[in-house]
Amino acid sequence: MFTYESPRGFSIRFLFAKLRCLNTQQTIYKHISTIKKTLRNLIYILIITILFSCNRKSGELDLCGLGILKPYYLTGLDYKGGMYAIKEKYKQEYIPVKKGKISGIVKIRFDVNCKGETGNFDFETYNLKYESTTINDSIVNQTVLIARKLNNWIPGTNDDNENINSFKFIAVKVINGELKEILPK
Amino acid sequence: MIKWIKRIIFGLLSTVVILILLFVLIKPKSYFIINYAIGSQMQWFGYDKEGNKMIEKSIKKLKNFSASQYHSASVQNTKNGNYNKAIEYLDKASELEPEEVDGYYGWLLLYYYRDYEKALVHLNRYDLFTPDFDDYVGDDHILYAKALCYKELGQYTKALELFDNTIKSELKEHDESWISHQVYFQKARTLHLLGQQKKAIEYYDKTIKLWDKSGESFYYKGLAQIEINDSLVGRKNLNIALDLVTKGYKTSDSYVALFDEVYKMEIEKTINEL
Repeated sequence: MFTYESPRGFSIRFLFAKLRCLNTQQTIYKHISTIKKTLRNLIYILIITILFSCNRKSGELDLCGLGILKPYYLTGLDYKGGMYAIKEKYKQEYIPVKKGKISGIVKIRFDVNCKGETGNFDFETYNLKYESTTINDSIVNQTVLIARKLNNWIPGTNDDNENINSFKFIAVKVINGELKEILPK
Repeated sequence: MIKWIKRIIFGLLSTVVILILLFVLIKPKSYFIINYAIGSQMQWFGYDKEGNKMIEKSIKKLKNFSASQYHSASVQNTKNGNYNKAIEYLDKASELEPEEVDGYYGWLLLYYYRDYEKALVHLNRYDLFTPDFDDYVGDDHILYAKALCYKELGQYTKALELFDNTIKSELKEHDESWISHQVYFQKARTLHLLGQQKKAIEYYDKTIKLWDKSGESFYYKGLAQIEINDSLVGRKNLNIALDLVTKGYKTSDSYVALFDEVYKMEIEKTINEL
């Protein structure tokens, strides 16, 4: 039970009683309970608003906890075998493209949840001057599909060493239809 | 009395709500500063599109954006891979104050974008601002950063010249322990790529002398030894490298893969294929 006693022994209960010339403990609890309910409702509204306004493509990936994402470089999100394994996967599966706009960068953005599962894939394409542009569909489809197939993610962790959600991107630089570079790590 | 307290609280709350409404409707300069800060924070949590929209809107309204403000707007975009925005802002910053921005810009293009030619443009221009002084870009000596660009472009002789100049420059005021082990390691890698295995081993050893847990140095030293038919010692060094890397001893970075960074899986594959 709350007593609302200040360190100096001043009592809020006493203040209310003095103000209203009453000693109605029930009235005091009634006010406190109303404030608590209002605050609780406000917090619920805030959480629901944040979740509905910010959550990306919910359903494709079950994000853990409240669905908060942190950047890969802070959570220590890793891939089994590191960048070496990612590059090997791309080298094995990518088929060079010969026609159309065949130079540029495909940035693939995705989330990795606390279980190491991926989802919410999105991509953007840039030319070699880093301007937004379109590039050959085959290059885009292949690079995104390979990223989707990467399934050995080691989830990021928080300060308490608990697995958490991270967001990550892979940028694939293609020159004349050939894989040139995969960034950042 | 309670009635009065209620009235005062209600009055205060109403005033706050009216002030917020006026703030949002009138949109003074401070509104856009707050908008910019919220946009940056949203980007930090991964909401790039929403964050960038807020930032762009604020930049348009807050005229006379400084080079450092453009610079800081570009940083999170690079970290999140929004290359179009990151470069747009950095170009503006570099246009306004090249003497402040070009060092960072060149270093960023080298490590984060692997755009060696453009990196050299900015690094060279930055170096020219202080011809009598050897600058640092990021954590790197500028000559070392330039050497890395040439190495990755396959211009090994020019790269070696710059690695040597880096070492000479560092030794002017410090002893050898001051030099980053990466300078010797990258010089060794360049010699190795030129097919000068014995000379490369000499520099891998110098790296190991500076940091005896350099997993990458043991790995490439082992490879160089195997290439000159010193297989037994080479294999031994590959095993040392595997042990070190398994224990986490190697040079790496939180944001980007480094040049010639080694991985446990890579070493295991090499050993298995011998």
